[in-house]
Amino acid sequence: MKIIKSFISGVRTSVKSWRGILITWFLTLIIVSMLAIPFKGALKAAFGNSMITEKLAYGFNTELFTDLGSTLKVIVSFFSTGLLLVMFFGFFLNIFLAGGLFNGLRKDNNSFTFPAFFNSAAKNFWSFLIISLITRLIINFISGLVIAAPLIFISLNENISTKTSIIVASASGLISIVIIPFMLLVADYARAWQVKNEKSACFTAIGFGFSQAFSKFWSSYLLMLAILSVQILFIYVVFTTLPGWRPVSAGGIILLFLVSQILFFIRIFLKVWRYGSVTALMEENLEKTF
Amino acid sequence: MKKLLLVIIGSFLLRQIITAQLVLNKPFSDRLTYYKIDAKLDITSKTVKGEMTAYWVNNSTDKVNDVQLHMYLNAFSSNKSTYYKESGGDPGYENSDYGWIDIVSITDKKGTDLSSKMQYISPDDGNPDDKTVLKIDLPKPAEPGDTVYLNVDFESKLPSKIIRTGYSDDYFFVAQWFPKFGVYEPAGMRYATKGGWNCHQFHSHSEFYSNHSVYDVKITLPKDYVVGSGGLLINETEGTESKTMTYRAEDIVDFAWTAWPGYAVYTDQWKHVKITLLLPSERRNQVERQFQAVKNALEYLELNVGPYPWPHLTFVDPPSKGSGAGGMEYTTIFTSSSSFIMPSFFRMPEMVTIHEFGHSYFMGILASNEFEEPWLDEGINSFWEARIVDHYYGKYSGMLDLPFLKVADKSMSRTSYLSSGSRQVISNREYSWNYPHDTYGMMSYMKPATWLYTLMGIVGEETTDEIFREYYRKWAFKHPSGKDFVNVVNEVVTRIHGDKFGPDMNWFFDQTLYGTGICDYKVSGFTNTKIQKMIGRNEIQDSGESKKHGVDSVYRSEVQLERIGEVMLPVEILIHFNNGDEVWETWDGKSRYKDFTYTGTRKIVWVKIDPEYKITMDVNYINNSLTEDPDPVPLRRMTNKLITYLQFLVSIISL
Repeated sequence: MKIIKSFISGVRTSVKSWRGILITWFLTLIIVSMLAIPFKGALKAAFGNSMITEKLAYGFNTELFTDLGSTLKVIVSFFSTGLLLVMFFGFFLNIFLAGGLFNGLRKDNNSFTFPAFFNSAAKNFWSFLIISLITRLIINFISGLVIAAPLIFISLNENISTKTSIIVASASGLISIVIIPFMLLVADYARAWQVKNEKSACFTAIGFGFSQAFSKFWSSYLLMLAILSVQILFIYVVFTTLPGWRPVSAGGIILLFLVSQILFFIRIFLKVWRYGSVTALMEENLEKTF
Repeated sequence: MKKLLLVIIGSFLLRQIITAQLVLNKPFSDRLTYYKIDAKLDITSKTVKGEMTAYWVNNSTDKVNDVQLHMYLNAFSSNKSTYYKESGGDPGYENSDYGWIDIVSITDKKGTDLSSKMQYISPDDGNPDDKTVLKIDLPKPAEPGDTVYLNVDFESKLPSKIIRTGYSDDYFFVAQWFPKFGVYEPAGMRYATKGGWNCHQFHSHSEFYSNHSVYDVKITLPKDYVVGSGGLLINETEGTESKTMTYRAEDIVDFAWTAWPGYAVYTDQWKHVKITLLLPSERRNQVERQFQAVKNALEYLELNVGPYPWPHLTFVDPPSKGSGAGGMEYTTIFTSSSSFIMPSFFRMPEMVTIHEFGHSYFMGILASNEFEEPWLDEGINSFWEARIVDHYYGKYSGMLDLPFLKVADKSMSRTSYLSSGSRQVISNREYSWNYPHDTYGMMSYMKPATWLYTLMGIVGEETTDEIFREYYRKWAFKHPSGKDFVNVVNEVVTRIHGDKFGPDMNWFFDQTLYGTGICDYKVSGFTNTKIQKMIGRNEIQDSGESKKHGVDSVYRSEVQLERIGEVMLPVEILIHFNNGDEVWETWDGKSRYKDFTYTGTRKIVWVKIDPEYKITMDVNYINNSLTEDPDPVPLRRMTNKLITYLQFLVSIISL
């Protein structure tokens, strides 16, 4: 019941934060376009007035790029550097915007204003950065240790029996199913707590995140698992259908752009729904405590 | 007298056994060599002790003074061997790491000890530390028609680094493991101007060359070991702790085997061929795709090249610890490569299986000299591998089939050829170990596969298939050389196409196979010039005025083509006009430039050289076409998707 209530509350507050989602969508679009559009320009210049791009009719074509010869090295170098920068700034941008989004999801925040959104984003930036870095570090470390290492070990070692392989693989899967949602819970609780508090105290926030995640484990965990399942399903559907859609007209391209941006907007909405649901759950837990 | 009689009877009985048909209905080859080996695997010392009776028939008109044997395992006996000098590195530092083969005793048919007549030679590089070729002077020269018998007791120690052959823990892949005759080439055979042994040393970048032989091999090893070999299992007996497997193989060029307790064995049937697959039991999820791959290859090659004659075929997917044995061929046994986790969109196991099986044809049946002309096997086989993979698994997605990334096997060959910075340093005239700057792979596999696709683009798919059918008919179970292949091409192409491509196709091979040039054609431009009519002494009426009088504008349109590369190939050109007309032109591609001119009311919109991308040798397709109005849609579509993927990626990494 508590979970469903948090879900609904999360949806409600997310819808209420549509302008924050819009800002996030728009700024992410801008930042990735700063790589994608010059990249397109570079390819356009490299291909010139050739009709070779017809080879893209069946998707990405490796031959097309090999034929670029030495130009390819320049383009790859440009793209890989650009990609690193986009990921770097994208990461920071999202941390910044999360401050505004979490603020808008609070129960006592009844109206969205741009100054309040950016004010909260700026105020919470450093705390959110540390919270994100620490949780991301833990997630990556555990993913490497618990998921990647055993799987590599199984695939390379033929001496272990099928039964052991299945046990190790299942255990890795099981641990990752527990650990990743748990760490996201810690991060979300910590951030929700941080925006609620005037003082910037990131480590106290992380401590709070852990304490909430442990003390309200089942309700929190099931809520997170359900939301993550929806998100993963959504991403899976997007990444299996979108690549196969190959419009051949200018109108089709515009439609592709609109649909793909709507899909990304939904993706942010689902993320904010997660933030909102955890915030609602935290507020309910705190209300009960006091 | 009694001893001589026994020897004669023994020899007679041996010949009867050899000529008996246990595997095939009839002999397919001359069977100039024969091997009967009783081998015992010692799993502790990692050695194989063998007692071998072998013979070689002198079917030449030469008087031959010696025999030459390959002693391949000695390549792993020290870092001074030619193999390690070429490849760098070393076989290891412990005694258990080295590989070697020792002759314990050697006698001829009469029991004469030949050990004093043995001498290691290095015909390729003169390396005194290389012991991979053994020359044995015969007590009496072998006259034409004579059979030279050898009784050899040998001991082979397998190396700890599996490089095609070796051991790892309890895993054994036993190849190149017994003293093996070289090929005696009389004058006129392949490139031989006088009779002699063709017996090359073991090189880092090279494979093998052998006669088609009959093998009777007994293998004794611990009972719990599962064995796979290139022979047909004739008999199996079990002792208290060991077992003995007896195999027979006919008309194959090498006999290899593997033993490991961890193998799971699966069998399947394709027409007359019983297929056996050995792989680690953990990989049972790979069984279906592996069988399907080999059946696809059998079907395609039988249809387009010739029949697979043997009733048996074994293939092995080695465990990770034996991965050094993966991706190798020994006619009726070959090794593939996969792993416990192998997504279905990634066709690497299929590609390896199809490739290695293909060698049954281009190395096994058509037993070319891989030391001297590796392209005849690896190159031709890579071409067929790509055709098979793309035929069965997707024209554009044979190798990789992801929603956002598809890669055809055909593209892989061309891409590898194109991306080699040293593609012009050497031609295929060179022996395999002499390819410089790490070009062995590109020159032996990728470049020949690429020019074979080009050849197919020029003469057509049906003609290409007929070339290979004829090549098979004429050279199966013989030793064709590169010039024999070229002769078959010439014969078939002229039979089907007359002199359409000239009196022969040598011009093609001189440039691609034996040349170092690159192929690159370019549309350098096109123009549409409005024709201005003279209507008076100094008056000009342009077509705009003509239009006023109801006459369409007249244009002089010109297409300008250039040959940038050295290679000259005939190309097709497609010219598209603004009224929808399309004109196909052909250009022999010989001159440095070529212009086509048209006069009429239509204007050229775009031009393409080789519009169907048949000339895969062309190193740059980008300059093969030119349009006044490039279609922006493909790049916009790609950019659109890239934006979305990047957005998702940024969103996912930032919690």
